[in-house]
Amino acid sequence: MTTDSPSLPPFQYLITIQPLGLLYGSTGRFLSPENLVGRSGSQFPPSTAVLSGLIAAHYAQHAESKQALDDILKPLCLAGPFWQWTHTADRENIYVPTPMNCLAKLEPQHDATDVSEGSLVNRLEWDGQSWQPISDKALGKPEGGTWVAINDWKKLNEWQPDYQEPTVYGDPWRYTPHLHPYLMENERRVDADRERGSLFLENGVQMHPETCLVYLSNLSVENGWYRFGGEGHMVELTCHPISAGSELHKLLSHPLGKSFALITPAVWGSNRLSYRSPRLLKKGDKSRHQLAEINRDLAKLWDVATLITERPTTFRYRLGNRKNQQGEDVHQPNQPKVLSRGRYAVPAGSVYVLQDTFPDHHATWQDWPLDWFPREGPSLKRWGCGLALPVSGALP
Amino acid sequence: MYHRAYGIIETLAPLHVGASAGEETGNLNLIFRDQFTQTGIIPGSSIRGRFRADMRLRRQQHLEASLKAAGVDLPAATARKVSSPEDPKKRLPRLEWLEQEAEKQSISVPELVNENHWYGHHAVTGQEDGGTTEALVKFEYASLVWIPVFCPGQPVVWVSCPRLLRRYKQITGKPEPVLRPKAAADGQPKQYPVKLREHRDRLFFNLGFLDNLAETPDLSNWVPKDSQIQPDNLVVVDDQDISIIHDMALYRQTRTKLEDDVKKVENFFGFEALPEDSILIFPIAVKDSVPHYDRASDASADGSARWKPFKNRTLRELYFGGLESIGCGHCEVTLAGDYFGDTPDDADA
Repeated sequence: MTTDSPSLPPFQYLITIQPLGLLYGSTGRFLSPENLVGRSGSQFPPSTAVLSGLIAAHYAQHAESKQALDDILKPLCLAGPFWQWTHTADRENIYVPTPMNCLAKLEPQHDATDVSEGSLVNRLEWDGQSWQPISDKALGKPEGGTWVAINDWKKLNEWQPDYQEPTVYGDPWRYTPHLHPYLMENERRVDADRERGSLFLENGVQMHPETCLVYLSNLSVENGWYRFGGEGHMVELTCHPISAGSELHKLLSHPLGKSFALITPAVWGSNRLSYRSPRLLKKGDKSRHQLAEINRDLAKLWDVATLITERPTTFRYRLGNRKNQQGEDVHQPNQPKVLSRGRYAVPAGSVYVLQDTFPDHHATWQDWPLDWFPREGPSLKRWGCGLALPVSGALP
Repeated sequence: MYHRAYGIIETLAPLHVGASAGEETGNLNLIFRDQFTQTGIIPGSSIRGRFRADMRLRRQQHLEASLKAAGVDLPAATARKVSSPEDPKKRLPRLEWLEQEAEKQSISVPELVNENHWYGHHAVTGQEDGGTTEALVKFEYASLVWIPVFCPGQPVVWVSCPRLLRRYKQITGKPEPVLRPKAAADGQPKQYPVKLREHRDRLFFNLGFLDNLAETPDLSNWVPKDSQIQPDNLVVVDDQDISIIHDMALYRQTRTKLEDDVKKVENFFGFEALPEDSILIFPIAVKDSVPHYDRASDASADGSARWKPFKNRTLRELYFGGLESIGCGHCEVTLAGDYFGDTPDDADA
């Protein structure tokens, strides 16, 4: 495997996505009228691959040739999804998944029209043998899937029992499954005689009106209204440069050291096998087996001392044109692209502790070589796989 | 990138948009609501369906006129179903029959009145990949901007809240910051922005009184300039209070079906609807392959069709939602925004 560039340009822009209405909260699976399980395949917020398609389509409109478009998109690198409040002055305070060594609890919600809030109740530290809680109060099961402000990342790592800060938040969106019945052409009744069935259940999502989705990008996009994330839903996209003095910028360029947390899902391993840490991909040794092109000899690249993680999440995207059996391009415009191979990702929020500190030339996620990431089409680093931030709070 | 546009809906009668017939259960028909303000909405798919049905009718009229001009005998105007020429036993819907005849005469439908061109073709059974096409015009749900509330002892007051005004601002591109109830200083009670025709120092709602009214003349800038109603009693309340005020403002009825021969209730149902004189807004996104709208010359540079749902006007009466038979759903829709040649500054009164 060869790499054509050692790394990708750093993140320079925050892309905010403010829905104009609902968004679509599912992915992949097709729902048939016989099987109206609207929540099947729920996935929200949309992954960076969705934004990547939006950016590619936008640049394709202006590019003179396919070659010119490829040159623009080659260094593209995105990361997300994150979110932020829209009414705050600090445009760079984004909310990222809480590292899993920080145990949080959300307050019971009295007002269903607000985002649930809570605070940390405990933090786990790795003493070389096991994860030890720093507070001995037993406070029941902690909440998964919370979000914390990037400006509070320091506070998170310095948290002591009985501190109220930092505030963590639950998901700022609600699922609103919506039935779209197929009405008769000249009567306002559901057309129940159709062979195809007449009910379509959309797994819609409504974001809290004072929040928006945020992604990091190293390529700018024109502000405007775009289609985003399925079912023809529309969003308003704005692109802001990241200023050098912001907490976000500092954290991204801070060396990871020995312990770090993922703030985006990470796919490690090969195209066929998913692992929990990067593996070196080698084509199989032909003298040992007859299978062509099998990926084996996956040497470990990291010496992981311990890892807190959850069940893996699925990771899949669409890329590339449809081809017929003769290998000719038969892709229609606006047709969905071909579905990639499905893989499993280590979920965002996982905390790694390594035996040794990263060497200087791999000190931050930005410096990690493309070869650490699987590659199907481009390297998965393009979609911000396993974007990591240092967590000093995981070690005593 | 899409062209931006929006529509303003003003209700001329109560508006009930909820589960459709055959889908609702029980005998209380509720309206669809937004999750975060608990105020009524019209889903984007309902708006699209209305626009689609409207253009379908125009396509049918076009086919009838063209066939008549070509000398084809049309069935009686009231005939909804027509016998198929190939198989007299088979009854076709009128539009399908017209389509078949038009194909024989090789009469084509211009894009201007082809709903499948603008709003996407529905799935066709038996076609590869379903036969759907992408819509060139996309709608999202309509949310309230102002809802009228009647309380005894005071004139009708139109109420809104920061969240609803934010969406209005987002869709229209208004530059001003959203007006919201604010305390003049720490520890002071909140002051509510109002614009009232006659001076009052308190407004009454069923959750209590609002009596820190701050006269805000600019509030009338938040009434869409295209509004036919132009309400003159306005107040902005907190996001937390809008749902209870909205619930009070809703139009509710219980309807009974009596037995045929005795005066006894056989069946009944209750429904709720947005009251008349409510003002709603919905975004419209027009794909940028559709040429820009130029009001002066009624043609696009390359001769391709433009989206003109109301022909050469931007205001039209349309019916939305259900229970039309009992007088619901009559609305007036105004189209505006960039695509129709408005600049954001025009959005002000």
